[in-house]
Amino acid sequence: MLLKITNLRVYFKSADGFVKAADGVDLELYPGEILGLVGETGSGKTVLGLAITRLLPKTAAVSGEVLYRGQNLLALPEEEMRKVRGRQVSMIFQNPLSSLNPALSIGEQIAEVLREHQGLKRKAAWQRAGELLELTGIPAKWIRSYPHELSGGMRQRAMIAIGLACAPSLLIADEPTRGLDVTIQVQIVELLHAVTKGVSPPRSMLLITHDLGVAAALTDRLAVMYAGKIVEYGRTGEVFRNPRHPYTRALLDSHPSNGLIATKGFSPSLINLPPGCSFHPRCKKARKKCAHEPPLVQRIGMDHGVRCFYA
Amino acid sequence: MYILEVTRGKKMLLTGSILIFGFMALAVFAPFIAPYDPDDVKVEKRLLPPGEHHLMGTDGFGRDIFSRVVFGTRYSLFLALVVVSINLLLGLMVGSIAGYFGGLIDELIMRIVDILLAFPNIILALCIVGVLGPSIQNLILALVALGWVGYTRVSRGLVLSIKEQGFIGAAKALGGSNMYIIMRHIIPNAFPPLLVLATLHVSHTILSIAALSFLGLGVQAPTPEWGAMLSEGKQFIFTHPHVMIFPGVAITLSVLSFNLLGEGLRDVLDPRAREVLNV
Amino acid sequence: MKRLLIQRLVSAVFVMLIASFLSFSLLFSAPGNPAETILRQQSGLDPTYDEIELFMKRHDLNRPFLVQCLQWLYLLTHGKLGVSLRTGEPVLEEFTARFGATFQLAVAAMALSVIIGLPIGVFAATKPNSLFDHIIRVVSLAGVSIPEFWLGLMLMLCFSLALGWLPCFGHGTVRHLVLPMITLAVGITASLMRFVRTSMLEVLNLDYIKTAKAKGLREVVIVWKHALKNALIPVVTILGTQLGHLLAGAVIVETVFSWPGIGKFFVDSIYARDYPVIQGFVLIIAAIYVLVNLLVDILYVYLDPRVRYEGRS
Repeated sequence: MLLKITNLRVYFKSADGFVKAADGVDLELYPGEILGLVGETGSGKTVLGLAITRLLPKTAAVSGEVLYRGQNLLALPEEEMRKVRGRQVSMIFQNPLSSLNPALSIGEQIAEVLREHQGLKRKAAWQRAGELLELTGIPAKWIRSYPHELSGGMRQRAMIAIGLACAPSLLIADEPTRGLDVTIQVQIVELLHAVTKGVSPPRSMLLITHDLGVAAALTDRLAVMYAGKIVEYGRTGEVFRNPRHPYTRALLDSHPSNGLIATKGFSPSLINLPPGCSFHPRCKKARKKCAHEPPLVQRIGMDHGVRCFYA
Repeated sequence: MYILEVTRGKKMLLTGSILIFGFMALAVFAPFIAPYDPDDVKVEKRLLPPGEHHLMGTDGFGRDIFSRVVFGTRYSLFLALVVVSINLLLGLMVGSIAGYFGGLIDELIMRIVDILLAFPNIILALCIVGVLGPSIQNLILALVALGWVGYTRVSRGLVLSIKEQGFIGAAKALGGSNMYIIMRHIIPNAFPPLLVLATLHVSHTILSIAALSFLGLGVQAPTPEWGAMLSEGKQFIFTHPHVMIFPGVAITLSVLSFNLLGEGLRDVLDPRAREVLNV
Repeated sequence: MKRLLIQRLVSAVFVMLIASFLSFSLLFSAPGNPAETILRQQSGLDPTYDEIELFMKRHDLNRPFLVQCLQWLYLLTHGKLGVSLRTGEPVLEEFTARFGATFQLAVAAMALSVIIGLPIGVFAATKPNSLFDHIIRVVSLAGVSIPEFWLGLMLMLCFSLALGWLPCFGHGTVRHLVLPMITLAVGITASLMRFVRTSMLEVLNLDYIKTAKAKGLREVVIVWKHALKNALIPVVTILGTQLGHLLAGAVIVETVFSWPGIGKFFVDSIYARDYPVIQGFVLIIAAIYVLVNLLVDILYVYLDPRVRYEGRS
């Protein structure tokens, strides 16, 4: 197992109480596989990614275990963690216009990672940066361009190039297709496929997305997140064909191709979570127990789990 | 982060307010607080060091420095407040006009404002006072000549954002004239950031008044204005330094208190105000 | 982008014209007769009517307002700013002769401010709300609150008189430069520190800093390369304001320390009612100020790659 997350909790202190962005998350990711983390905005997906790479602000209280190759990342001294970031575990972000430094060329933003982690000299790093750009579909001659000179799709590719610079074993992609034209989205999905499954040995990826189409196209396994908890997980095909959690079902139903069926209610405030099962106020199948006891994860079949009493 | 800013802001606000209140009290109750008449010349008591009879000693003419410092609050503070009030109103008017009418008028006004924005007020003030002669009226004129500029940009920005919010449409629909709209709707909404600006401007103005008076071009001796006191005391700096120390401390403290108040207000008020102020 | 700069230039010229006209009109509202004052100063006795008439004729002070005004504008365009009533030398020459000293002082003060203010501002931003940060905030607030002339005198008192390390008047050696330089630098360092800190804090909160951290870069690199490069851009915009402070400060500091620069000459001319000098200097200073701001605008455009292409800030 490459990544094993156990009972991860991320609480933010606020004036009104604790924001429970992640409330006891368990996840497993195997070498060479792409695990999708889906859920609506505000479900805690991004926070999870940031927790793994320890990029959360100081106001976050993090507890639990994040084992990467057996080592608990949460317990590492900062200096050690810095060596992991970008080298073993790379995270790339959404909205590359604001996520890339506007004052540095994209070549420089790639080269500096190489210089830092692999000790390459200026010239060698620059050369490798050009190769990485080509790899992600950007002409190498644009190496001196600035982020604002590129289109959205190109920027995302540059972002990916930066993430792959030191050939990390785990790539965490946070909403890599958000805000892009549909045609560009397809290209990015293909690129992501090429740099994970298309290399040997295949690279692992944690794909954080709210786009079910992208999740369906890329992922091997899927974890569905709601209000800071994983409510269902399993092989992607299985979850799509046979969604057991009412929320997963609702998520799938709301997809345009399935009829855009809306679910009543709003996602809960992470400060004032409903008692018992967080989804029960909106759940068609909710019964008395659901409002009092928080359900635990039940295994239904090989590698398929659901957090529900009545799945 | 925001919460921390507000708490620190509240502390500054409190400290600044207390200090200012203290100064105001000194100014208003000066005759009761000052032990001696500030203009009472007693040549035999010249240049006494601080002691039991004279808290801060006496100056070159035997006048009690403490009393003079206390009375000095009247000049520095009230003058500064007058100047800033005039500037505020002027800037508000000009900025509102620019924002409300838009178009060429707006362009023209803002171009001029852009250029004038950081021009050293004091050089022009020196010029005006220097040419027209030192008097309180000329002093005020000199400080008002460029002082209004800082408020224009803020006023205009607020007018523009209010315009977009539709208060104007509603008022117009009810039949209000242009002037009425400017007066009743725009100005009250512009208040908080302008208040911060004005507070900081007061501290700046106190410094300018003191500097001009120090150069003999502002409030004239024998008036017990702090800058003028420093100007008179300059000659004794090496022999009787106490004459110079106390008025200077008074200036620094009063300026500091307004700075604290202004900064505190800025931290406590809506962070949007900070964007408008561009800091 | 070029359009913006040309607009700036045009408005600058426009403002300068207004300034010239205003400064000239000011002369005519002046009480008393400058001729009388100058002559009285020169000879120590009350000048006679004839002497005043002569003086006025020689300096063209008895023509009607509009004529003098046009004359003035005409001369301006030829670079002639009039002649000092005190020294008899052309105003422009008096300016250039003394400008060097002021420039020396200003550059030294600016350099000191940057050397001290910039690193401290950056460092304070990396440790927000720490003890260091709080101390810096208090110190910078105090620094902005102290009247410069008083600070100069206090420093003089301390270092010249009490400790005898540095001279307090005059000009010539580096030791003479120290006190005026420090006095002038205090205010500027304080505001620079605060501005750098604020700018850095804003930048450090931005997304691309998170990306830089995610890449595993060292904190030093993140702060000094990624953040500072972007944070300095708005700092450049306040260079114009700082120039204003420098000019204003120079006037006061030079007077206190008898530093032979344009500031001291300006103040002396005011005392003497040397109107050509007063007018001329204000205009020259306005021109310098406008020019520097224009340069700052250009610099800003050069520094921010985004503005270069989009033409807006």
